[in-house]
Amino acid sequence: MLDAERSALPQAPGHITIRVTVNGDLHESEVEPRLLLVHLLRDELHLTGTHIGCDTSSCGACTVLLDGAAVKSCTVLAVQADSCQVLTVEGLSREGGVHPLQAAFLDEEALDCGYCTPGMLMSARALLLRNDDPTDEEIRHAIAGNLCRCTGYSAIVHAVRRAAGAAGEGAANG
Amino acid sequence: MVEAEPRFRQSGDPSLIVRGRGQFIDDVELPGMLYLQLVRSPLPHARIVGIETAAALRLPGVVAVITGSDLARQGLAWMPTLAGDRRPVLPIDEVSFQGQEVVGVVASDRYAAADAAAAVEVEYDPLPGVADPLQALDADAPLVRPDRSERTNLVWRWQAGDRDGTEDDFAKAAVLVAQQMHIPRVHTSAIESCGCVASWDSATGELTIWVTTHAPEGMRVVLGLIGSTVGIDPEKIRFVSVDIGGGAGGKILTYPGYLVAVAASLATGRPVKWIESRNEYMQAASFAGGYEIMGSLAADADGRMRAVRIRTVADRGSADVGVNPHRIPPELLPVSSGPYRLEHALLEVEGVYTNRAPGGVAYRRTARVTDTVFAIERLVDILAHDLGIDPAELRLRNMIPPEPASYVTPLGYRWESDDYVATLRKAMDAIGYAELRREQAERRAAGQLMGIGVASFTEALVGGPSRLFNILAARLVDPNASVGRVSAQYPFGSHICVVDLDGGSGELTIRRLVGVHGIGHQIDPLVLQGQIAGPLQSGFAPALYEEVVYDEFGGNLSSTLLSYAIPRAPESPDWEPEPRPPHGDGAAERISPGESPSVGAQVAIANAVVDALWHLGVRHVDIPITPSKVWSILRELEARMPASSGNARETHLTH
Repeated sequence: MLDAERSALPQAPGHITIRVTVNGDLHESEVEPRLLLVHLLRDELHLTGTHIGCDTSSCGACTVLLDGAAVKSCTVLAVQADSCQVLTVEGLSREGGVHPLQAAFLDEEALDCGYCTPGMLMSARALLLRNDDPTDEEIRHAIAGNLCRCTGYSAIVHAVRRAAGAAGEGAANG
Repeated sequence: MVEAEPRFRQSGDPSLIVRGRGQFIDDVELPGMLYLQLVRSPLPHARIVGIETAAALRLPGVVAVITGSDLARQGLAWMPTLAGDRRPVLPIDEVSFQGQEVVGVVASDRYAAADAAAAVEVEYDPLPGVADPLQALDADAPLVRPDRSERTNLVWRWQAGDRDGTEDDFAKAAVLVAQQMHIPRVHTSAIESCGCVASWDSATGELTIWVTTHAPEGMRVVLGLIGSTVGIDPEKIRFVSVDIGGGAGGKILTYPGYLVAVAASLATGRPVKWIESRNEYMQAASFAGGYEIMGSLAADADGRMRAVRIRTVADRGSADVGVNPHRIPPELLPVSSGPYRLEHALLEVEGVYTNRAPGGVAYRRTARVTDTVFAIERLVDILAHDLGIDPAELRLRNMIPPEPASYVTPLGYRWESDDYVATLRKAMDAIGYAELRREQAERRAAGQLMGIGVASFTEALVGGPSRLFNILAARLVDPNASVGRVSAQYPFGSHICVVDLDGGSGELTIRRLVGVHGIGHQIDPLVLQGQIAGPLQSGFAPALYEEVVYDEFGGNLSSTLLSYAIPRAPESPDWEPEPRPPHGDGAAERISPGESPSVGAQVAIANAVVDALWHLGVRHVDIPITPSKVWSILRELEARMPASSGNARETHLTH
């Protein structure tokens, strides 16, 4: 949208100011109450690593951590994230670095098209935060809300297992 | 804020994607970009009485509303398809499938566009429709395409093979088996739906299109054919490749939404983004399958196979959009008679219009590879069971032997070194076939249901999409154009699958699936494992889960991920593929596995299920083989057959 058009739009009476900490940075935004968290992240903050795959919270491509819990950001309103901490795939690794989960996905060839990958990484991150040594079955259930059409899941399970075994996982950020 | 310039880089870099820095189509953002939202038909077949757009145009942020009549003034109301048909970009008089694009609304952001789309009112007068491809061939069936001069729903009829020779073999055969098979429509359902950004520069006359497609060449052909009517120079159309969020063939086609986005950019002079929602995608794009197959096999009393005949009615939907058999180079067809030493073969396909969304080329599913292999491998199993010969043994007896080194199939394909016998023997050794048959007999005696499914298969890979689309373009201009030979590869192999069925719940567990693949030298074992595991999953999923369900009028009942079953991680097998070339790792040929494991896995699983139920009188079960389908079969058998009564084989159920 052109800035001129944006300012020409009538300000809806219900706009709400929210303060959301995303990947450690505090953002203040004035949003429509109906704005979805995923659109705040993608369209307003330009964090396009969080993907949209469906409209029924079925596919999990939009999974982010909201105060440490994996949520589907297409089903969370931006206003619900007011005063919360959001972690997206861009926040998993710091400048130039790679999180052990990201490294494991690369090492195990756990992505093909890569569209589901950010959501898979965030669901796996939430799992490893509460269980640093999951079984394969626990991994499969932790990513049950994330669909993948390319890999058949096995390589993803291997990658999460490898990341869990990687030294220093417990100290990683998140 | 918008980025001043889109980033340009090599697409598909996994190290960027894992850090959230991929660039998929919805990540492309251009200065001044507008958003296109399509209004779609809720009805499968209806006359458009009127379209009211004034309320939408009054809403804040709305820049334009585009109807079929607007496009007609530019000569853009219809678009050609690569199969030689045409379809509306936006229809003027009539909609012919549920989810069809009817109006385009262009606004300053997604939410404004969605609001405006909801404010467009389209009045429809419902018409009788036809959703079943067999019913569509009835003389009194509603006409799906009144715009054509032909007053029939038959699109084309295609055949390969020797009719007289095949009919003669059937007349003389000692043993005949025949089976009708329903192959439902499935949806590729990539996690990313379709989308594009079209940007027309009126100063330079350049049209730039960012698009999530495997085949910009195909889209270039379509745009080239219509571009001149609106003043676009085909030389000035530029495609920008982005990361593609999956496709499995579903993103080959040029969808009307792309052309509405182009028209919207032409009309507004600004870049226009169109991103399809999941629900739109699952109603209107990326379909595969939709075949009614009658297969039959003629053999001697000792199981020597003589001839195969496969007649298929192929649901094309409301337009023939696929790269379909009658346009596909003949080099793709000769493998379709399977790996058996047959005297004759006859393959016939009829393409039929229905009031469903146009079907596609996805999933190796163009009435050639996956579904023909499915039919032949099911027939071979039925023949084996009818004759009381082990299914693997019957295949070994009938397979083209590795010597002599050259053999020509009834459809004209010259086998050089494809050693099917070695792939099947190696698969049998790897899985311990003889021991499994012994275990099966023991379990059966104890009342347990266990099945072993065998399948040998061939996949066909053409030498690159750009070559294929050049051929299609040449044939659209001149149907008799000489296009030369296409370089193709035919990966092949054998699968054996073991399933356990719960007789109480109908639940089915894949215990093991072993594959031996006639592929070339392994370059990267981990990549090759992925190339096998992924396609195994896409054979497993339609075998047991996936089906687009339509009501009798063409209403799509499976247009969300809540109603279309895609296997998730907990219910998916742990694919641990161990690539097993038939002759060790020293294969001389450079053959890619392609997606060949999906071709074999689907029918190996189906054969295993029927193998588990055959002794109860079940000859065939249509895919997807869901627990409820198995449960219904078992309960029906119980009802027909009191525990004390005679031979179960008399019932011969087919589902």
